[in-house]
Amino acid sequence: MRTDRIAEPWGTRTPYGPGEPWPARQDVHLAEGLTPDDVDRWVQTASVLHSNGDAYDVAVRDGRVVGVRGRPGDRVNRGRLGPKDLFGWQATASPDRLTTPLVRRGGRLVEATWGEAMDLVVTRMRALLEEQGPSAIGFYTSGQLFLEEYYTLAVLARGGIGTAHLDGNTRLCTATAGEALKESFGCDGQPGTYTDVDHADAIALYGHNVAETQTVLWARMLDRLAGPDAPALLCVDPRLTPVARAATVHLAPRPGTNVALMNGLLHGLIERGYVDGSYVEAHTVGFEALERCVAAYPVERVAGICDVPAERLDAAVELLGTCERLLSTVLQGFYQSHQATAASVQVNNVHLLRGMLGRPGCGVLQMNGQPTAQNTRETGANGDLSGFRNWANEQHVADLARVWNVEPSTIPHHGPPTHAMQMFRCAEQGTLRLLWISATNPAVSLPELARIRSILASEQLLVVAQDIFLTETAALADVVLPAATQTEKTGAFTNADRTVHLSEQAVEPPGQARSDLAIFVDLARRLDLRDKDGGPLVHWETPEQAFDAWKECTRGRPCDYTGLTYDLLRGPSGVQWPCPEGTTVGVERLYADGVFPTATDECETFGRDLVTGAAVERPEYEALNPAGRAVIRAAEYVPSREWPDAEWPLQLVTGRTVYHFHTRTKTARAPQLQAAAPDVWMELSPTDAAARGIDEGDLAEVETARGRVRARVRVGGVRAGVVFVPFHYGYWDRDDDPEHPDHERAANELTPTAWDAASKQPIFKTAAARVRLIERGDGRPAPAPTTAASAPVRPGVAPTTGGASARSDELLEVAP
Amino acid sequence: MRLTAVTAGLARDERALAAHLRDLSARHPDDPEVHLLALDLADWSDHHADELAPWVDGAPPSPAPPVEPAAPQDADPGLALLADLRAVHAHARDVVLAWELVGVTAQALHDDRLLAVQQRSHEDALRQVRWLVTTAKQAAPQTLVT
Repeated sequence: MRTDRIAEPWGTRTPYGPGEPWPARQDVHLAEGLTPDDVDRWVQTASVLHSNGDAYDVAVRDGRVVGVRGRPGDRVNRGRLGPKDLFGWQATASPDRLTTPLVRRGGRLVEATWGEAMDLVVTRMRALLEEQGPSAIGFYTSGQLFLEEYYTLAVLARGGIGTAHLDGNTRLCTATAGEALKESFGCDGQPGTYTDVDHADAIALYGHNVAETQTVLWARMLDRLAGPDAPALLCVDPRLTPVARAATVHLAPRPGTNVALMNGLLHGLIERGYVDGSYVEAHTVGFEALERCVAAYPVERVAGICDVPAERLDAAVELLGTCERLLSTVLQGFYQSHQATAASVQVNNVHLLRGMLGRPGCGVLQMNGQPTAQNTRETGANGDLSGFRNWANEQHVADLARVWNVEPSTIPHHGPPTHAMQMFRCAEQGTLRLLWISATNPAVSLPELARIRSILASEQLLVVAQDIFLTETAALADVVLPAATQTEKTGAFTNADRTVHLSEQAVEPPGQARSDLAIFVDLARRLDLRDKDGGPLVHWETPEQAFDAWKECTRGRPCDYTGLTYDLLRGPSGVQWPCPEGTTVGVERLYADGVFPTATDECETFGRDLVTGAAVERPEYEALNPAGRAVIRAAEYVPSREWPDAEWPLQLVTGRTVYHFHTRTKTARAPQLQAAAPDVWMELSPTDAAARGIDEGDLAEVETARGRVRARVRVGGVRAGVVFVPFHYGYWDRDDDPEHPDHERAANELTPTAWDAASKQPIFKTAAARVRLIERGDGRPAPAPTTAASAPVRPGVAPTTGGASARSDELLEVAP
Repeated sequence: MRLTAVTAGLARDERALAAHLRDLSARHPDDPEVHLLALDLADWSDHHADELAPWVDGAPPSPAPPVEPAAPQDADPGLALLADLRAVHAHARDVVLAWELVGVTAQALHDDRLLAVQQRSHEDALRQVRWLVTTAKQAAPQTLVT
């Protein structure tokens, strides 16, 4: 069957019933005019343009990637692919790839050799180490590299240089997932799994527009909805997403009120006796404090705070309280909003109260935003220590020092590792003086871009950008290092349900581009980083050697990889961790026995006050004494400091579309994806549009205290009082003078420098804003896709299609 | 009863702590965590003072005393932040102790209403102190090694 997969992002339905295996469907897309007979070989990989971890093979012909096909035997996608995977591979061969190092001379970036570029950076690093010490040096990495690369970076930064300044852009997408899991269960790691979709009789999605962020996971849910005994769906989202349209109960709360909403739902569950008392008694601590806290959130009060009808709240409580197998998922609507961790932890609490963990259909998925974000967290390339170790636990630090063969004092653990937003603050103050940025684009993705640009452009900061294209960030850097991408290198990575996939090199990188692993290994060599016996600290070179080193770091840890090998990962399917030595299949669901890694010597954190972010010190944690029981943590609702008023009457929410990833570095270079969502837009409700005399397609300006963005208006299904702007669009592909861009396109011109107190994740979904009409449209609609959450409310807008070049094969009769 | 001397003094101290926290916020607009959370925590202190009203009979509404800056405005912003956090911390610790005195007195008087107020407010005051400790410890190394 040939399907236009731009017009139909989720493809053809393959309905199935509860407890049945999800039928396979193999999706294939090859370059125009090619058939499978033209393919020289197929090389395995998995998705790097979203976090679902869909397994697929790339087709190679004459040394070039010419297409993709899903892997039907894989547990994650059973052969399916989303639009970004079907078409995104074309970006890799773009003619504007970075192919040689660049260094800034006389204000301009000019070509240099690898030796020149690395010498420049290493000389500066040595001088800074001499003059100030490790606190002068920071690394800001990604959620898009491979496990081996993050681990190597973590070892060289924390064990070699000894800096506390290492974080990933995972801070923007999954910091709250990690923090929420740690707060409730003692350690990062998803309790649930995607196969819970196959068994659930209720699925609750909190701020999770899965239809656009993980299309194949949504296809799985759609197939359950189309089959017998379909699950009930609860959707919490201020936009009329495809999930909201399919939902049994849709709650569209006012942005910034998620904690009030969750406390109201928990209040309802307790009041109506929907609590599994024996589970709570045996497997949790903290219930009484929660009961006291949520007593202040009766339905009528919550309905007022959140502006949600009381009867819908009642219906949501009934749905959550009467189901037998509940799967919950959480994403950016909670993570990037006010009180992010506090709200996400309450989702965990629903499961603890209902005793719904560790059984088929009973799971929590605190989702990831980026493809390899799980590895950033596991390896400690974010604000954690490698292998889910607790920086505040001397034994954990000593154990990590043993693995690395360094003195424990080398590893900075005097306080929490510096989070990304704080790193930029240190750079702003001039105490962080060299920032090495890999595979991320803060000049478009961080909040308050005018401030970020001025920090990156500052004379007092040396910026290194390691990337595959000259992004807005690389254009501001002092040294640019050309990197290889996905199909040009080898490595493993792990998705949100702990499934590890191997991605093998299929083609050569362009020009002098090198794998991120090779670049980090080279840095460690040039800095001559040594262990305490004088041996090389980074004692590996190849990806497989790095993987083996990582396995040792995880031995006996909750994320145990020691049973995994590259050979095992060659298929037919990815394998979940934990997978201890001697096993080969991994553990599908964590905490099936109701025992959690919360013992004082086991836990990854002693926790934080969810409202203030204050660290819980070890003695307080010992007094709580969870000792293997999950921790129910309560939090009161605190109104956001940035609240609408007469001057700024609207709330700005930024977000995503199904056709783009992050700052469009790759997806804008795939013609089908770019054509489907070619430019920025803003969404207004019919009420707010009419109040401003604005129609579909008119040019308007949205403004906050930080900046302004001009965009065509889509009159859509967003709740009244909210303006939505996708955050993907920056400046590199603008027609105007690239030297003097107007800086009125990127959504993050508008967002505040503010973050969640517990997870330190920036707040992208609660800013006060105003909108005004700039210019009437010419009758053409806004450049917003019609297929998903940005669908127009009124007829007359031509549907988004991909035409001939977007047609892809869907093979429904396929052997796994 | 001399309890009202303590409760009235505590209500005044909470108002003063609120003012101190707002001053901390105003002095550090570029440190978002300090700037925003200090305002939330100031609201807590005002709320605590309000809750004490029934035990502050006849005492006039207490105006917040002027706040003395801990460090001159033109000092290094990192050092100024640490100095300000320490000053507010000393203030907040003192409020914690005052709540403990109110707590034991409320127990001795079998005043359950006051005890309920005390328990909530004392816990909040401890959380304020913990936040000040965490924030100062987080800021210190980077500020002091450079």
